[in-house]
Amino acid sequence: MEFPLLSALVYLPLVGALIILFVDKDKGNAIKSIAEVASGASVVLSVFVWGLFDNSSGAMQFEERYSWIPMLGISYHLGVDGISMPMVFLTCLVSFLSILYSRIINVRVKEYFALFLLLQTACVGVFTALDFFLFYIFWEVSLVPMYFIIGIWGGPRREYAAIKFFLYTLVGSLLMLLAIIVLYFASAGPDGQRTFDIIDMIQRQPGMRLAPGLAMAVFIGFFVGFAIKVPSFPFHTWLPDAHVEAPTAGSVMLAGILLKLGSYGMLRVSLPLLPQQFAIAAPWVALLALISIVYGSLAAMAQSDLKKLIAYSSIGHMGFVTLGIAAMNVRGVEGAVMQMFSHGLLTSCLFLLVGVIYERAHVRDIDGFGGLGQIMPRYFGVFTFVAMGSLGLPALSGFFAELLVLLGAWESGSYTALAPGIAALGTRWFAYSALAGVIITAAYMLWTVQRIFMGERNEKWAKLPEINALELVCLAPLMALSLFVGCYPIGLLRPIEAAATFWQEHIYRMIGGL
Amino acid sequence: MVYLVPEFMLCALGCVGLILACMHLRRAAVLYAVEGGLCCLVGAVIAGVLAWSASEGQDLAAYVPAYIANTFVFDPFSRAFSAVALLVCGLVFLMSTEYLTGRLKDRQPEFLALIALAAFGMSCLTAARDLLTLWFSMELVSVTGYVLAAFLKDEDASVEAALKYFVLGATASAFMLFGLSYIYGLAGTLDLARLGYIINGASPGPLLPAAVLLMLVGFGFKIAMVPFHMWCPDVYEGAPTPVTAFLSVGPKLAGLAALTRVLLVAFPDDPSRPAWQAALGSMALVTMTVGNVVALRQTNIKRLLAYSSIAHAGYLLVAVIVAGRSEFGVPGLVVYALAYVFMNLAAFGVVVAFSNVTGDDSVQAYDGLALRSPFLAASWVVAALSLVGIPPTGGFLGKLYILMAAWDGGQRILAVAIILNSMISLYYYFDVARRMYMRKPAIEGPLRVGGGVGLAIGLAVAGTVLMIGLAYPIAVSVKTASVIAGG
Repeated sequence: MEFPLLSALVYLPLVGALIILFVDKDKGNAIKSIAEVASGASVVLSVFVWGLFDNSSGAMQFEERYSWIPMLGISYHLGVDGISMPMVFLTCLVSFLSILYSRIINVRVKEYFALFLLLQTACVGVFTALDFFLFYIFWEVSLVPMYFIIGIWGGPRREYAAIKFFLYTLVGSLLMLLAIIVLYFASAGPDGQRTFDIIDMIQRQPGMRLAPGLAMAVFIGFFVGFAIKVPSFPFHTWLPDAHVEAPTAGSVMLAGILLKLGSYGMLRVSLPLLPQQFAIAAPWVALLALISIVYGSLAAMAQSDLKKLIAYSSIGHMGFVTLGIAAMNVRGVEGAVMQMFSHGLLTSCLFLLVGVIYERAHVRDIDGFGGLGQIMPRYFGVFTFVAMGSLGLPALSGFFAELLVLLGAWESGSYTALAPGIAALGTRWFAYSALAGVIITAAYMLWTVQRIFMGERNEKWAKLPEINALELVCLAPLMALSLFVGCYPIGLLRPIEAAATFWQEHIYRMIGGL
Repeated sequence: MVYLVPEFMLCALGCVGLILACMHLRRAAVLYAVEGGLCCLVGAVIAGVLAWSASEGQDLAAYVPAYIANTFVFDPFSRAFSAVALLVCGLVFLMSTEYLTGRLKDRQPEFLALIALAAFGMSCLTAARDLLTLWFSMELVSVTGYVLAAFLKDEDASVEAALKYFVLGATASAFMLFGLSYIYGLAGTLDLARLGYIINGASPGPLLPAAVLLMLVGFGFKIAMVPFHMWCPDVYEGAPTPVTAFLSVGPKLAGLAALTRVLLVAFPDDPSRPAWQAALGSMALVTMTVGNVVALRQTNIKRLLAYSSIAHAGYLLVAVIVAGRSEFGVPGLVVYALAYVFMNLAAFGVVVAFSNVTGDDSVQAYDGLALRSPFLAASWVVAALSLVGIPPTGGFLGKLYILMAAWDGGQRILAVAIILNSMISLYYYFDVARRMYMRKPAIEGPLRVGGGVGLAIGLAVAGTVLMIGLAYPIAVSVKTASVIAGG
């Protein structure tokens, strides 16, 4: 039997967490080293797995399937395809860099790193799980460490932000649970056995066996669960609080990885399992995505707290992901996954940069800074690089991702086929309006860079130390990857395209082409 | 006879305790607690294995003498719940070890003996073959409960709690007996299986539903179902905490199991079933909602857990309602019962351990517990996750089964209600967890957790977490345990 690579990838951080639990809590450096080794090993392993991954195939690879509770149709089923492979790699990388950056944490070190490694396990688990029971377990497990990370090591309003995050996301998850159960009961296969397995369910299409009203209710259950995580307007209100109050590394994980769980769920579950319902709802999903993009960007423009600004910009960028998914064509889905990857890289950088300034100045008020470019030139350079990436400058990853999403939205038929009202506007209007979001993003990003770094030198901050080696080491891989993907997108695009085409063919078959 | 191990063990344990009391062997009380607890747990494992290996339809009654088999039913369902009774007894014994020497001044062996006898009553209750045995067993559990609640006889709260429990409980039992008398008058028999045969499809008239409702009053009181729940918070708050722990799992689960048996065996085709099933459904809905909503405002942790146990009775009632309609009904009841024992006793164990040292039961006192005792705080978090139904805990497995049962059994509104209530319940469990982890303690310094209660908490937490890993054997055994013998 071949070595279970995916299980190793999922549980390696957990093993690290368990080891840490036995270390004496005063040995901070030992704990940090163990965490870095565990997480670093998982990065290496994920690169290895991607190296072995067949980029031209859209099917599931490295599948592991063991029977768990046969009488309920539950099995332990892991697998990656072109959509989840980049996400797994991104999770491992961002987790490792967050743990590296967390060297600066000195309060309750043991719990912090144990929770962080548990979080990494849960996130990789969600991206690789192919059985609903397992998927749900990992999904929920990712909530608990985040709650404690925000609540213990966060800012002044951390308790409120933590419980808001937990409660809000749990509401979505429980709705998703009920939806899963309804699908389970409709999933009887040729031998009469029902199943919780996602791939089996996709083949059996239980959504088609349900009454249309019930199927739509199931779709809405899943959609709300995922939309809360993404976060899509109108379920986004937990995000600004959670991001602002979380510690830097916590925000990085939240923005870089946890938000992607929601959109991944839409791609893995909502699209293939309930394609007809998705096709009916697609115009409304696109509308919500559009509002997220434009409203998120406008709200970001209005912020004076740097971290809150980036939180709202996340809402805007993730709106692009949702728009790409709602386009229901290969280009849109490709763009969505690329945007997930790119946003994961760039927003992690942004939050790390906020951490840099906050550690030094202890305030995040944008208007309170000024002329920092003279005081911290290297930081200025890095910040500008990342800001350009965030607003979609070509040669950085964000551009190609947003381009694909816009192309997908432009040529999508999904809005016309079943929603004549919106069709009257023409599908192009979605693309035009999304472009407005890009322009607004550019506006607030440039304005922020100007307010913080350019102009009159604010003597209050004259003594701020420059960005140090640790922070640069954490930022460099993310920036380099963003540049690489921006200049050579095919490398990332090949597996995504293979998987997207594979699934799209299946979806078109189900809904008779759009 | 091996299937009678649980009953024998519990009875013997009770008798040992009474003997110890008569012989005034005070110091032996702690030894009795620990040894008795461990024996019970071993017995629970054995009984569990026996329940698992009992194949469906196997006539276990062939293995016991006729005079016992005429009074009690030996089917996998009753064996599963007798294993649960042993588990409860064992964990409560271990939990009480430090409490005995700390808070109880005297009569320590009697305390444990009464708990063992109450657990014995639990076991009999789920195995009752006829309604009179059922009533007797219920009285055994109740009366021992009344006495146990009054054990801190110098404290007003304890005596008041016991008095409330006694008066209300006696009233409920009287209602139940009255209902039983109606049933006897109508059918001429109290044997459950014969009742099912006689009632089968017969025209009911108004008396039978009335009788069932009167019986439900008795059951409802025992399991703290709304509107018969008012005793619950006061009694839980006033009684000694290990007794509260026992009351929250023991009589509740036994009452629910007995109710399931009565409804499935005696009234399966009762023509008035839809009527009282609807009544039961709405009571389940109100129970879980009242339990969760009122728990949000509690400032005493024992009252908080009291309302939470009221809510869980509501969830379990959903499984009872769909017991005959869905293949997941009875398995759901058994899985949730097992998970509930672990998670509730873990939570109460934390409360016992904490109050052994500080004597304070207010939620505020738990501030900063994570810094003083990481073990207690982490145990509370695991118990809270399980109580809300968040994986990877046994509570999630139980909730999954019950949701599947509710949906499969056609009770869609109840399924949605369970989901909404779980969301509400997150807040108050994690309010305590928040205080433990995110606040500074009033008194610094490590909190010493006693060996007995620490072991009890550890086992309960381990049980909660392991239920997911052992999901396959558990799924097999509950499927077996769902066989309720008709005769």
